[in-house]
Amino acid sequence: MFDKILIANRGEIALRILRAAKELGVATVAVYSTADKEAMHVKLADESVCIGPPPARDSYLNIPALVAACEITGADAVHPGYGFLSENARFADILAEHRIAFIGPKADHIRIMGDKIEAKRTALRLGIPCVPGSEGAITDDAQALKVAKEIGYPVLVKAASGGGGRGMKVAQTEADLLNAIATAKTEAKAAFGDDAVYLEKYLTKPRHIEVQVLGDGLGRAIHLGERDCSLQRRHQKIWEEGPSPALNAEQRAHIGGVVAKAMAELGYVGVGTVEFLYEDGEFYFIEMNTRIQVEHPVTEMITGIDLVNEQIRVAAGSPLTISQDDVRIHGAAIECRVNAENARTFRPSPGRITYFHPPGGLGVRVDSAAYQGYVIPPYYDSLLGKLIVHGRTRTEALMRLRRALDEFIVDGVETTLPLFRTLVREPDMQNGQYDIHWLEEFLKSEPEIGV
Amino acid sequence: MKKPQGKPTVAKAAPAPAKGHEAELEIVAALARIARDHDLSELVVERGGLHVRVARGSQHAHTTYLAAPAPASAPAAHASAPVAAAAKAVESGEAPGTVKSPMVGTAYLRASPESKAFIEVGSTVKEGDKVLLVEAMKTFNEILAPRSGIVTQIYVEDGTPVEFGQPLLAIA
Repeated sequence: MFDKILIANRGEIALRILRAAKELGVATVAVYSTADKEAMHVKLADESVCIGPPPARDSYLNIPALVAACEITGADAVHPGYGFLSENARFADILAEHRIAFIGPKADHIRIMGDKIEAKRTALRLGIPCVPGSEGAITDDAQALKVAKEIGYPVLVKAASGGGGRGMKVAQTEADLLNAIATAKTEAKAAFGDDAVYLEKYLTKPRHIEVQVLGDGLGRAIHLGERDCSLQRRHQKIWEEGPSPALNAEQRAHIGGVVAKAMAELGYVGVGTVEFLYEDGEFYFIEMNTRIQVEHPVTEMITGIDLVNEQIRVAAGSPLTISQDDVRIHGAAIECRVNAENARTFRPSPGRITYFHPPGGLGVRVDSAAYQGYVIPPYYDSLLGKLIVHGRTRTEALMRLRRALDEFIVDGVETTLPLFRTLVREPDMQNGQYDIHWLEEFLKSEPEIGV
Repeated sequence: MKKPQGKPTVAKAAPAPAKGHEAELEIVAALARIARDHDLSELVVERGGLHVRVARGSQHAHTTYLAAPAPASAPAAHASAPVAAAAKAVESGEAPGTVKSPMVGTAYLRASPESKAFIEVGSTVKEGDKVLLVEAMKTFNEILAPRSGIVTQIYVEDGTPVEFGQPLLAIA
């Protein structure tokens, strides 16, 4: 086991990592920008090092500063959290050169899954079903038109270096295709430095269903069930739940089995999420996230397994101690990502939290680094915290969520709590009848969003 | 920069007390004993105009930065009358002309162990003069004086880890 973990992140996930490290008896180092001096995890860590001014590129993305912080504290492992450098293969390589462990997958697996074309090729090779599409990048207009015709319109143009919902353009008909490709290429070059694009069939009403995996790189990998993350606004997830209301036990076991076998064959180390679009009973691989994810608590609540704990253990070289048979799904869990934003306009609302009362009680979990008096800095994402509820059934979870949302008080900044209070009362949400377009269509209908 | 609770560090020698301050010295000595016996990492007492802070452990706590830390001197433990750093409460703690570290690393006051230090308290420096080195990832980075003047404080010792924004020295 490691002696000392440096947490290369901030906010709620930094606190999450700190908690797991403490429970493992491992010393903790918090690094922070000057804007995060009063962060909760900085207060709780054994040691802390200021690594730079507020901008992420000068602090949380500043590899030399992070390595130097490891040097001066003697940290022997780095946990990168999510976002920032968590899927930066170069960072993993540099740490390896300095003989510091990177709590995550092998750099090569990060690289493979970071290139969406390569990821798809690898998935296909491993037997994971994929969205029908071009084989590799689009080389010229003639090829694009041919492939699109084979797949059938509408068609999605996707950036190879994109991901997380970025760098995508829809071509509804053949007339739109070449223009969509040209626009996508220009934008991709600007955003990701790489204009390679590929085509995929555009699914009209899919759900976003992702499978949580855990591997030890020693030939073993298991799946821990799925999460349904269809509720998205501009490709940002806001509500996630597990199990998916759309799947039955056979489907779960089937797709889970396919994914676990693939990860074992790949020799994947650590936690990861294989994301699918699901439509009409079929699963289509879109991408794999080679890190711990924001919505991991959903899986923790329904399986009782501490994913960050397991992640640290396998990174330290321990074989998996959980077998697939040990993984049991109990009840249902729902997570709401509460942002410091106006619930109607989604305008960010940084500032001082003057009153903070999170909900409690059986089956209620709040993963948040916020506290009364905390000043939310304006430089980073607006995630205030995650409210996760668990119930023996989905209905119980929904009742509990409604109760917990009504109890959650945050004054001083605007939050999206009112949006969730509205959503939990929506019949479609209660019936689990939604797809990836549902939320944007709901918001377009200008619903009454209370307080 | 917060550092872990470690072994008690050197008790900093207070400036030689003026005659008639024996009572204060006794208070300080008694507090130091209490801190040690009860394994307290920090103890602060205010009485009248006297403010005493006894700290066992890091001298780099990221709280109020004292304007004039005495250079660490006496070895720990067996000194007959361990004397803590008696310090007046300082509000902002920064001397004028403080130069802060632009990076994370290890600060060095000299080019090599055998060399003379680049500067000392009282040295006159010109803007652009090399005053310190901060090493990270086996690369030595020169810290240059941002202005001309006289070095009034040096806040770090040779080989001290420093964080971004940490006061290194003051040039007035």
